Amino acid sequence: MKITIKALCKLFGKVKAVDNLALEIRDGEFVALLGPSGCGKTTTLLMLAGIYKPSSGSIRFGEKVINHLTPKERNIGMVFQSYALYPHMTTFDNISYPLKLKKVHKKEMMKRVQATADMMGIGELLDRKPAELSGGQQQRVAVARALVKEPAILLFDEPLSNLDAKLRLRMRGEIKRLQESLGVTSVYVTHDQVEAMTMASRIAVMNFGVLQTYGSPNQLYDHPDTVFVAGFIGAPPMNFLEMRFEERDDGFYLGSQALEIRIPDERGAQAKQNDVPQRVIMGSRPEDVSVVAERDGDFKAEVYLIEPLGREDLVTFRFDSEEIRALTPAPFHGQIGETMSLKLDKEKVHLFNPETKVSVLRSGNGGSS
Amino acid sequence: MIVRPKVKPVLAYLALVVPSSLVLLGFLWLLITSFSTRTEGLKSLGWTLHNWRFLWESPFGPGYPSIWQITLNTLLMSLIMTVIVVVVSSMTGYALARMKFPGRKSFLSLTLILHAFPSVTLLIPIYFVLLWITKIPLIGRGVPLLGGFGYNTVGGVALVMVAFQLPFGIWIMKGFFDNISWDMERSALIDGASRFKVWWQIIMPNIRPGVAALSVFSFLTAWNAYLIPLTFTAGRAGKSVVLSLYLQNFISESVMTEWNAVAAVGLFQLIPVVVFFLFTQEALLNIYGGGRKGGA
Amino acid sequence: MRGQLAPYVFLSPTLVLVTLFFFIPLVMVFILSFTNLDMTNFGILEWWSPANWSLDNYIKIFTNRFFSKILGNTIMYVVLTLTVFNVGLALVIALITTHINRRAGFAFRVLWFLPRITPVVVYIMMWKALAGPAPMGIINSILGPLGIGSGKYLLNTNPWVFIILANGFIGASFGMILFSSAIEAIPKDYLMASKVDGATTWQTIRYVELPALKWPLLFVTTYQTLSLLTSFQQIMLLTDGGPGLYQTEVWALTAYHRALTSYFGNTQWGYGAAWSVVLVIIGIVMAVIYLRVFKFGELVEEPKIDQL
Repeated sequence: MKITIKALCKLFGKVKAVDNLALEIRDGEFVALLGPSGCGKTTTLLMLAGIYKPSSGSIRFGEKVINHLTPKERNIGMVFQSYALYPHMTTFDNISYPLKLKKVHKKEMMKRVQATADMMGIGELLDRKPAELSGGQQQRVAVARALVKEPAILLFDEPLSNLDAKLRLRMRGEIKRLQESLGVTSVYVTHDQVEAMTMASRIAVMNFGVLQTYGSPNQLYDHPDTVFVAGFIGAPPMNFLEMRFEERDDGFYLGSQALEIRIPDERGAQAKQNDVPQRVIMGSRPEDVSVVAERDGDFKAEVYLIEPLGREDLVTFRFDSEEIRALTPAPFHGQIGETMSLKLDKEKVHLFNPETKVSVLRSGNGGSS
Repeated sequence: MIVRPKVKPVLAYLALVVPSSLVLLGFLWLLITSFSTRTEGLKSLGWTLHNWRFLWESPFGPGYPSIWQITLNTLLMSLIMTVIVVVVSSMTGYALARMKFPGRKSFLSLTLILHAFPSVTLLIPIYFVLLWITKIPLIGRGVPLLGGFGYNTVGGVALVMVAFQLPFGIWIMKGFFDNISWDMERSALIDGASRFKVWWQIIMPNIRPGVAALSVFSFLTAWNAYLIPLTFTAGRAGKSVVLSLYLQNFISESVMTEWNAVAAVGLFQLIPVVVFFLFTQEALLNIYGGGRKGGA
Repeated sequence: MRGQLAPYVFLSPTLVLVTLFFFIPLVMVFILSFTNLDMTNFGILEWWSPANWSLDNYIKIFTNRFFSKILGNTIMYVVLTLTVFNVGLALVIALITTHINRRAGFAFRVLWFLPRITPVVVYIMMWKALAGPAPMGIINSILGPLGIGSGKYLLNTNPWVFIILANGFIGASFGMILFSSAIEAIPKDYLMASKVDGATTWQTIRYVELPALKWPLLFVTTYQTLSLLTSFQQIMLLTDGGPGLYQTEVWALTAYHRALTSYFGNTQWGYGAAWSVVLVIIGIVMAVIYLRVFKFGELVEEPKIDQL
């Protein structure tokens, strides 16, 4: 089922929780709504579910506007962060509840509940009450309950946040596989960018109720539209430095007190085309910052903090009053306080307008819709 | 810190026991007196079962309803009231806590005002309202068992008590509803339940402590009620007489009050309360468990 | 549309009952208070017609010979019962029962709850037995041998003491429950922190627990003031305003006597209603203040599901 959202707004009193949202979700697609808490992503999901009524705008399932349909009439399944299992009912009763309400014949109901439970690997737990299940099992019951009525759309509201790290990783894979095999259009709300990157075919990043960008994980990672997206996606987060943008005879340069770098011509030209201001925010991911021999370096900085991550070490450097982080192959050969030379990968430098916080490297009339 | 704890608990217990002793003496007296021919203070001057004869013969003559008829009345009224209070409070409490509708704020403040409002001051006009209800055919007087819902009927008395108990009940239930997770309710709606089904099948089973507390509280209030039955039942020989009134008859109607017989009747009314209370004290003391909002 | 109506379906039983037993009576009590409706002219007097309304009843109240006596009684009864028992003793019991062994504390609270759930007639009978004259009365039978007291019926010699005791024992349990649950709701971390800081039990009570009781204290005080002001059941059963003329008559009891008993001749519904109206007004004013004080705004958190 295709979902089309147009000019969607939701007001709580005077607070705009969702502001003029437009989003198209293709049939069978897995879309993540990503953003910090309070960004409007859950509100959007609840409007899709029919729990919240849009203040204005429209939501279409297929071609039909469903703004005024009750949750019951929308044929959706939803998995909640708290699982929202009914504590007084057994697993069987929990999973069969949607079918019971649909007045599905008893025999048919038993069959479908058993099949769904087996698929989720909880076929043996049907007699237990939620309190007797582990967190992971409760999660599976919640997913089974959402799936059992064969909904046209599946909604997930941070379903993995309450699981421990190991289990979360496992469920992440399972949900993704499940979605792919069933081909149900799915909307997945999360504040965890890794979850969004790994699971979704497209990610809609929201902040303060406004859609920041909408695109595939790679697109968002390689070509972030805004400072917010650039900073939100990717861990550890991108470094930002305020710099001068200069066009000289031999090319385009970024400069500050401590360093000056030349950026590739086509990047510079693109920026120029987008009316790049004199002062820009330069962004560079930690993996694009490397420690090099003195003669290859763009600038020098002092080691401030070393955080071993196992495969790599995350090193924070200081220069002037700025900080920059680099992901270096472990083990890192350096001491705190030592001055080292750093080099930026110019091919992967991002430039943003400091006023609008929008990328000046967009092609055409700008990517963010 | 090493010596004091030994002294302090003693003082603490003493501070609790001394004032409590007055009540305990009262209960003890009740027990002793009901089985005595006469008492002086707590001393029995002779043991007897004579005081309990009201159980098998009416002390006011054959025209007067038997104690069992009266107990049945009281039980019936208490049960009716409890059921209505719990169901209606739950419905209204649910709507106030969980549903959006125009006028919700005013309704909430109204409930809070009524919760604090001294309803006994309205007894006089309520008497008139009950007289009007009596005139309504069927509902007024024609209901079997209850007599009806008008003046001088079990149903009428129960209805007034329900109304008086309702603001408190709504407030208590609202507190319990406030503590239920929104996601659970949302989930049920998405599963395809109507608001009514969500309330009945999903939410109500999860606020059992609230239902228990309010039920016990309402039942005891009704069982012990005196003023409202007194005011809204005509004449003490009326059919709708309840235990409290029956007991008061003993005290005021005989020229020389037979305290021993009165004590037995009093104990008869008290025993179910105490037994009931012992089984439900936890629920009762948790009556405000639904949240501490609004000081309550 | 179905969705929009659902809330009102849930509310309808309450609406009916509140209309029947609060709204209509509230309007009526005001109207009745301007009339001289009583048992003799019932069915004849058109009490609903403004032509028959006057302020006579109110003039009668304020010129009543016993007006100041009744007012004084009411104030004394409310203030003493409230401060000594409903708040004072309730606080003491709550503090003690939360500082001793948990089970013992609970047991004592159960014990203190008994007066509230004892049928009022039985309860008052017990107090009458306690107050009875020698040799039957319990207190006299204990004090007599010690040579204290005259052995007379204590309800005749000290009626107020017994009225306040009997009411206070019931009233204390309300505050006790609220206070002790508020104390038990104080995060254990605070108590431990205060212990680590070397506070004595008394200091912990003074600086950690009492501040946490601010709202329950205010709530109990306002709520109980109102209920004491309008309660008269216990007094009615204990002394019925006696033993002498109006010796223990309080405002609410006067209203009841005038309107609903034939003790003073006819049941004077109009005149009794006027006595009630004064209490009704106090009740409304206090209830509104109460809304303000308890930050009503915080209670009306919006529901998190829209009505579709």
